[in-house]
Parts: sequence; structure tokens; C-alpha cells
Amino acid sequence: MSFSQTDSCSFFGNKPIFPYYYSAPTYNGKDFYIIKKEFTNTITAKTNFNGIVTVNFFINYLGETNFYSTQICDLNYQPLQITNDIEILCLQILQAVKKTSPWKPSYDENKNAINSRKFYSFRFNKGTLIEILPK
Amino acid sequence: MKSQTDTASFAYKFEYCTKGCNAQSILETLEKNNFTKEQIIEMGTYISYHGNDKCANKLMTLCINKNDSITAGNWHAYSVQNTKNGNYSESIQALEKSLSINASEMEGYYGWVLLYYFRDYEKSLKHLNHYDDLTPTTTDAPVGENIHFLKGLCYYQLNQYENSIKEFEKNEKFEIEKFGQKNCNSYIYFYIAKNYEKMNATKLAEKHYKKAIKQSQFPVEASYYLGLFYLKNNKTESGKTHLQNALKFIKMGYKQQDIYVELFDEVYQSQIEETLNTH
Repeated sequence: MSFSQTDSCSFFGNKPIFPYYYSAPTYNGKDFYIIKKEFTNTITAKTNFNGIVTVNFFINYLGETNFYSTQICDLNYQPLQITNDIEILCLQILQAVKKTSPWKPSYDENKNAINSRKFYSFRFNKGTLIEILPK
Repeated sequence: MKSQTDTASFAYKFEYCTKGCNAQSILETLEKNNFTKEQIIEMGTYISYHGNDKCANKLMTLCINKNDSITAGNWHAYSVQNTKNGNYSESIQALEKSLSINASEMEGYYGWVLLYYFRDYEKSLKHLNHYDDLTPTTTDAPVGENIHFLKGLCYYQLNQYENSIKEFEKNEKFEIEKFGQKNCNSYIYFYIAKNYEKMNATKLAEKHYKKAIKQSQFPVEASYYLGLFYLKNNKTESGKTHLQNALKFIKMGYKQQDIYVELFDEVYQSQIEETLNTH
């Protein structure tokens, strides 16, 4: 996860970024049960994929999202590239995660809105989506 | 050792939004300031915590490569933030290295993290079993959780219900002996019930769900799943009563949850409401 100084500073308002578990940003008040249902309804591509697709993204102090990136690995946790057979699947996953925007920004102990980082991982076994993590 | 606050403030200075990241120059700065390798890895962890994994991992790798006395704990430290950030490849590589240096110290944690963060039940079970075998006369507790509970969860997820029940019963025996029946973890009974339900042993499932409810002051999960169990078995009114109880407890703020990752069979308010609305 990395991006250049110039394109990130204004998005983050020159403020630090915190992980999702520090700040617990919320997606329009929806809980993870609803989010998972929305994901499983959207991610329908038929593949034989064995592995994990992870989409990382950032939520700024205004609740806007940006800097999405996708990482893939197999079930032995070896990094993979997006190949033709999983291109549609990866695109569906990215679109599904992007659809969660906008988020409600989190606040620190002084009630200042803060930047957050979030990710969703999708674990597949023989093309079947078996886990969505972390929460 | 620098305090956490000092280290965190220092880490802020290296965030990409206030300053571009050059891991090599950060390492040189830290070394000039006599930071130990543990402190440098800790700094990497903070940089990763604040969003810049690439820079953090590079810094930690540069540091580790310069040292010939890397411990299992150093690789473990490298793995932790990568695990929390969903960098599975990075995390596993570091965990494997830590395991190869000191299996007896790391294997319990490895099994635990494979279960909760990777949901890799076969691999988790392999390591938990090996770890358990290393100390046959003691009951281990990786990250504070009874090893039989963890193994029970693995077997449950692998659909090996009889093996799962055996592990939960070992956990129960240990807890009753050590802490007494009234302090026994209610989730032991909850998972025994879940296993029996999967085996279609309905009487035993019901009995253990009830035990789980009796054992806990605010049994959200047991109430919800017993409610579902009754609905499935055409006992609609009993089912709704338990679902209403689950809803009441969850609205009071009682449910099993973790800040990092969804727990197994975690229950949500919207889920209970949806079930109630459809029956």
C-alpha cells in the first residue's frame, strides 16, 4: 500500500491515518451482516479461483473514499497477478467495495474527524466465496 | 526503550502525507539516534499502523537484513501489523520465519492467528495439534484462549463434529476443575450445541443451547441460534421468544465481538430483526 505524497496530502487534509479498528468508521450505519449480504449479491462471477482477493482503501475525514488497491494471493499465501480468468471477479469485488462509499468518518477522542484505512478480504475455494473478512 | 507516545509521534513525522517515505534514510536516522533493532521494527509497525505498509515493510526488512541475531519475536513483530492490515503473503512469510527460529514459542500464536485472521482451519489445526503435543501434560492457551476451544472451532469449521465436541468437552472439564461450573465459558456449550445440531442430534443440541443460555447473563448468540433451531423444528412461538431475547440483549450492547475481526457465528442486530420479520 503506497501512493505519492502529492496526491494524498490534500485528500487526507494533512492529518494522520488510523486503521479501521482504531476508528471504526461506519458504512451509512449498516452492520457487517448487511455489508456481507450486499457483497455476496454483487460478487457472482463464475471461476475456479482458489485464493484471497483483498481490497484496501482509505476513508478521509470527510467520509470520502479513495486509493483503492487490490492484492491477490493463492491459498498458500503466494502473491498472484490478476489473470484473464479472474479479471471479472476482481472487477466485481472492487466495484462491490467501492459501492460501500460514502462512509461516515470516525472521530478521535477530541471529537475531530479523522482519516481511516479499511480493507475487505474475500477468500475463495474452487470459485466459491467462503469467507469475507475482517469485519 | 522509548515510550509508545514518543515512538508514535516520531512515526507521524515519517508518514507519506507529511513527508515522502525513504526507508533507507529513515533507517539511517534511527540508527544515528541509537535505536535498537526492536525499536526500529516497532517504528516500522507504527508507520504501517498509520497506513504506509510499503515503507514500513521496507524499513523493517532493511533493519532485519543488517542484523545477524534476528529472533522469532522480531519476525513475529514484523507479521503483526501485516496481519491486521490484510497483507497475508507478507504476514505468513514472517510467521514461517519466526516459527523456524523458535517453534515452541511461536506455534501456538501461529495456530491462533491462522484460525481467526486467515480462516485457514486445516493449517491452524495442524499447528495447534503440534503445539499441543509439545506439552502433553499441560493445557496450553495461545493468546489466552484454551487450546481445546481453538481446536474445537477448527474441527467445527472442517465439519468434523464429533472431534469438535471432544475438544469442547476437554475444555469444559478443564474449566470446571479450574474455575468451577458457574465460571465455565458458556461458548463451550454453545459450540457443543452447534455441533449436535449439525449432526441432527436435536435433543442434545437443544439441551446444550439451553445450557449455554443458563451459563451466560446475556446470551445473544445462544438465544439467536436456539431461536433459529426452534423455527426450523416448527416451534415458532418458542423460536420467536428466543429471538426476542437475543434482540433485547444485543440492543443492550451485549454480544460477542472483537475489534479486529468478525468472530465465528457472530450475530448482528439487523440479522435478528430480519429473522423476526420473516416469521
